[in-house]
Amino acid sequence: MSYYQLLKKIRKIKAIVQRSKPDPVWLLSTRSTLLMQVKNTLPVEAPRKKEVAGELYKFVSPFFNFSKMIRKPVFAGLAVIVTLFGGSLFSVSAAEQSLPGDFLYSVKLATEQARLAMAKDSKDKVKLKTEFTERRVDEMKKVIAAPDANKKEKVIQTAEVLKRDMDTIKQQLGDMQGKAGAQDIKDTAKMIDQKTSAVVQALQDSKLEMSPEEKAKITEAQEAASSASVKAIEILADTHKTDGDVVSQQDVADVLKTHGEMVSKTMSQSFGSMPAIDAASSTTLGSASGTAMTTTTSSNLQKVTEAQKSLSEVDQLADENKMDEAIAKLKVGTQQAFDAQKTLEQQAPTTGTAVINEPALPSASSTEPVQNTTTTPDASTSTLESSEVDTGQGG
Amino acid sequence: MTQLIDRYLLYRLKIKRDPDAFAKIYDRHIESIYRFVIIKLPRKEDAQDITAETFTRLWQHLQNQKEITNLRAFLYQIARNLVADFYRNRDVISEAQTEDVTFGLDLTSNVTQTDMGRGKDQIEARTELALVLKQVDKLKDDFRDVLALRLIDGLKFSDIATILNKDVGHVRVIYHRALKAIKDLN
Repeated sequence: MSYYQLLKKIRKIKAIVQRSKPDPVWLLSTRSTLLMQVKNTLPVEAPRKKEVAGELYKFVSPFFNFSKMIRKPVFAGLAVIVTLFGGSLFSVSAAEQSLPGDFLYSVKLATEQARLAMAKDSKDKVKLKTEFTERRVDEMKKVIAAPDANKKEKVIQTAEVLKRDMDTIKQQLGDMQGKAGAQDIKDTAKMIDQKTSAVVQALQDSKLEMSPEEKAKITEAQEAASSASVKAIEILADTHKTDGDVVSQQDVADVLKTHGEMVSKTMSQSFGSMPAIDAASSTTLGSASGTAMTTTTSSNLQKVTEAQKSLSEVDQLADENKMDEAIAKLKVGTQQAFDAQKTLEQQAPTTGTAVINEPALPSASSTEPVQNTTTTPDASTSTLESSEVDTGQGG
Repeated sequence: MTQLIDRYLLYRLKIKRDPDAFAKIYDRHIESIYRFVIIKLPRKEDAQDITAETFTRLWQHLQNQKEITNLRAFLYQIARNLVADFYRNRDVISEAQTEDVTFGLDLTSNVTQTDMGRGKDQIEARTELALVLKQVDKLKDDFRDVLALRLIDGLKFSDIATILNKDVGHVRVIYHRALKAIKDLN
């Protein structure tokens, strides 16, 4: 007999059994006999109060036995809550400490997205996103400080995330324009200006002892930060035009100045940390690669000079209340500065191979041409050697 | 809800000294108990006797002020024990070999003699049950009990648990293992 045959038979038996009815006569006679027996033996005296209370309790106890009734669903509910929220809280708090490349890092980014989605308005969103960019900078510092075989990948990943965040800020600033009030725009633009300057500066500091690839990525992030800052300045300048009472000329001039100083300082540091190429000594050696390098370096230094010139004009234009022109100059100067920086970083050998000279840049306020610094013959040779290697790689 | 009504009737009987409450208990459960025993006993008269005895035992139990938490399951428990006693006593009298006191019933014995006074349907059901039990007889006692109470008598797991004096979860496990065991038999 198969399993299904067996079950079929059981169902058949059940159906037959269900149809079985006791004999009605027997039913009645048994009923009357039993009732007679019950009546005859039923106690006559009234039940004692204690007995009544006991029976009453038994009857109503299921309704009042809260511990029994509630225990299971409450514990089940608590278990679910603890699992969902406790677990996620634990995960999130653990994720907060995670660094790029860690298993929980994506959780951290997702949590940030969730916080961003819950922000009440565009001002809060920008503020929150700016906070997150500071986190990225902290992560970058930690990644650099920690000994790790995959440090390079992690640095690149962090720089990419930071660049993306900065692009998002720029986009959010665009969304904010026309929606937020003049005061909010003023506060946000100033905050962005300060924070992005800090981010660019911090990234500049972290660039020391980095490979060209890492430096390139970090510079891209810096450029994105700078671009977000310029966007904030543009919005502030537009608001100044429409609502001059709230956003004064001085407000716009201040942020322009902060940004210009930030770019100048970054350039100074960047060029100060690079090998100064002695054009004269390279030319004397007469190699083709040396000549090419010298040409590249000269054009790059030209870019730096032009950038400094553009930046120095920004203050003057701002003082004259020519904000559009000042911003245009700022954009040009910033672009030139970062282009020069990128070119230098591509040319630069890894650390420790070149002689580091004093910065050959003029100050932001000066428009004097760059003065070459003298180097020792040994230093010139080592610089040339490294230049040849780099040019070879570039070819 | 069923348990609540039973609880109320017991309260009426014990505190209000209301004999009609017992009559209502009888009316509510007599048919199911009768059906439970009729399939297990050879003659209709035996089934009637054991059904009546089940309610007499209930009353004796109540007179002794003993606690009843699940009246329905309690009645099945009494009936089950009485059926077991019936076969045990009969075996002693006939000096037949000892049988299983659970559901290893003497269903394959001489049907024509023992089924006197029964309807055609009941004889058929009993024959079918004999075939099924012959198959199920290869299983453990617990398996047979739970299968019969669940599939034939249609009792809830909580009631079966009370009757067999086991935990509800355990009964569920036994039931599913029994079904699996049947599959494995083939």
